[in-house]
Amino acid sequence: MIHCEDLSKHFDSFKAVDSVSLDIQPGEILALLGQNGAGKTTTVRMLTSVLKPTRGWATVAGYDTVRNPTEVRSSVGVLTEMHGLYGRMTGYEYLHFFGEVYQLDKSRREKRAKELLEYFGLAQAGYRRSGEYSKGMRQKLALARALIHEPPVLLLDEPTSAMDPESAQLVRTEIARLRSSQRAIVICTHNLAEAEMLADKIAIIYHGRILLTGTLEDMRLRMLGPAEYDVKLAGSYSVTELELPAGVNILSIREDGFRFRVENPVVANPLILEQLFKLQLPLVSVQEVPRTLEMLYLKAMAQAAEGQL
Amino acid sequence: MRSFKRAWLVARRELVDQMRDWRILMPMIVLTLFFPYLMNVTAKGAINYINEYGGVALMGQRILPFLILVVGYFPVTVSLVVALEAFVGEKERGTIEPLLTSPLADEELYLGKLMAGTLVPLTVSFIGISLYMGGLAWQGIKWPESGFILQTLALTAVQTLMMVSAAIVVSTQSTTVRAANLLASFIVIPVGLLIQAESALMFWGTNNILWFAVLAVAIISWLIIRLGIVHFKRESLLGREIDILSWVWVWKIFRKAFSSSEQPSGLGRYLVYLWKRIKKQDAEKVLLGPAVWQDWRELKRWYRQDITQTLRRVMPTFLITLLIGVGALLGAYFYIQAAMPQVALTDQKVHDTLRQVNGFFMSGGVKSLETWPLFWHNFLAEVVTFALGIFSFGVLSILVFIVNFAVIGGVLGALPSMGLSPWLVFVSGILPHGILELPSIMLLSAASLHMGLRMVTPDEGHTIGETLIMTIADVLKLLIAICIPLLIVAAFIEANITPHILIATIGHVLELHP
Repeated sequence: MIHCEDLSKHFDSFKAVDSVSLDIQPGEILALLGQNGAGKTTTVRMLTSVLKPTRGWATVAGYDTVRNPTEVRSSVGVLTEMHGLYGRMTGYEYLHFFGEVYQLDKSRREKRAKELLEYFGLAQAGYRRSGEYSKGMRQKLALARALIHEPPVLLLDEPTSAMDPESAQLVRTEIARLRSSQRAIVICTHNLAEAEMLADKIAIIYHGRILLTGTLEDMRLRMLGPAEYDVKLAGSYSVTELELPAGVNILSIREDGFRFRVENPVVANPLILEQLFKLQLPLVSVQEVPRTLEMLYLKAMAQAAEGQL
Repeated sequence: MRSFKRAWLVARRELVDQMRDWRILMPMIVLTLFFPYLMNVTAKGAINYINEYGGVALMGQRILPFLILVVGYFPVTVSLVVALEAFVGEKERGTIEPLLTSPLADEELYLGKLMAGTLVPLTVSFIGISLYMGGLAWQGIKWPESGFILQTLALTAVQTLMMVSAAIVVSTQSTTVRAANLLASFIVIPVGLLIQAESALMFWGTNNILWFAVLAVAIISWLIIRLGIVHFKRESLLGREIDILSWVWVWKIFRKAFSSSEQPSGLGRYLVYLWKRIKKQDAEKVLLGPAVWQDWRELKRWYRQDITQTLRRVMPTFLITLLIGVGALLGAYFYIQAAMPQVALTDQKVHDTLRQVNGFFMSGGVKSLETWPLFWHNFLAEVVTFALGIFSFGVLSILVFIVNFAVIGGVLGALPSMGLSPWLVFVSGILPHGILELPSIMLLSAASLHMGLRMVTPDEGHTIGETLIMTIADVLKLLIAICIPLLIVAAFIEANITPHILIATIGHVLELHP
């Protein structure tokens, strides 16, 4: 649904985006992560045919972003970093206006506007001027605008930035509801928890360059190594008699348990548990040691800053 | 049609938005309702004053159309704010990006903003004028002639369009509303001066000429609109964040357009070397001879390559200018010849004129013709022509050029009634220096027109600023390389050779009028 190769944007000598290649299939949500000024917004602007790439190319919904800008823009719903609402328009008028911009006929845009206001819980507020809305309501209305023409591609730039936790949670829930097998979604964010919660794939961008891309699991394996598990036992027992399957390394042993790393937990973990039960060790808990996206991201950033990535 | 509908969609939203903003509505209502009343009082007062002190009633009458212009102009200047923030205001409020990422075409967006920017000022302006006219009727003051009224309405309409289209261009090129408002003075002040010039023409009663003003302003408006559309780039609307005038950047663009050579000047290097020597700093030795020789070779290359290329670019507009010049000259010549029988000069008047000319020649007036003052006069005329061209896309340059050639044609057309052969005077009095002076004027006018045409021609790789600097460099190149040398030689001939040829050829006629 979105494909780009060697996509680059230079402003004079400044490389805002440098050789970005991405492939996002229908039904996928990609989170584009990076610091402020890393090139996320510039990438989105190129994907919406607002900026022309200096080098490389991109297709969105099958259309080339340079040769078919109108078709690209018709196929994309964009949530910009600033909500972009006209404060003196009501929510309903606003959606109606953008419905007309996207060439929906009158009955269709009226229906869509009502549907979306209903969907986002703005049915009552839809007849008030958007200048009176709370931040969360504004963001939801902006999201409704991005969806007015039922686009196959959604590009969401910082959808929850500067929002209070409740509003951000509301918007995240709505984004999760928008996942569909017909739609590709790109979320630009520096909220790592949000990315972890919503995305199927992650791309980390640093100084305009994609450092890492793939599923969260792939990236964890690559950056943080195989999964680690912590076993807690009731009391002090020796675990030296455990026969560990291949691909399992004990990392540390404590009085009340041990920690191990395993390359293939699906095969190895049941075997370890079986042995623990066989040896009648009083097992309290076995849990995966958290390897958050934040740990991964910070490690990637540190490596990139040192030129190792 | 579909594009118009979509442009109207953008305009309609803006118009509705404006009607909901009291900060826009209040000044417009006040100016539209109160200002015409004020002008009514002024008109009545002026007419009474003139009548009371036995002034010419005509003066009182002629102030009326001028006040129509004023009544129409003021609401436009206030509502110009709407056009000035058309794009940059949306950018500041963060509402532009949803529009830019929509399938609206660039032209649709631009024309939508232009329509919204034009309709409100034009409406308030015409409402104001209607109220003013109603006020005049209510006070029992006779309206000006209908032709006069029509002319002022047309002037108001085209001036509004010109101001709004310029404001929209400013809005696309500014990065903040503040910057756009500051730049508005470049729109309001020239139009204010234009209205003063128009009012002068009205007071003189030469209002037929004002139709040319209507035409010229309409052409300039169209060119500004085209300039705006051609240089409207979504990318630059979002790309630029701050306005910083970088003289280094200006110089780099100008330098590159002025000369394709990247080598520093030999003489310049020599002067830097001397300066460093004076300052007792280390400097690589530069000899004067080789430095001058380097500049001489560079000058030859500049003429051979850069000037030839520029001339090639300007050639089509030069040919158009030549045709316009010949047309103006012949048109004025035949018009005067046709008009002469009706305004036949009396023998006495012819005698007086020829006596004055004779007196000039015989009393040593010829000797007062000196090369440098003549050159300076012609040079200033070319500079003014060029400066006018910058602000009018070359339209005013061509108008000045037409006037020059029409004057020559007119003078030649009047000569037969004085018993002089126009051909003889042309060949002996104009051609000797004119063969150099006229092409110089023509080339400069053509280059100014070319500058305007390039500004309104799509140029993917350059911004408005870059194009303007490059085209100015082109005109200056031709001015320095060709026009000025031609003017110097022409001035020398005009001061030292032409008078003698003229005396030799028409002296016998002048001698009849001692």
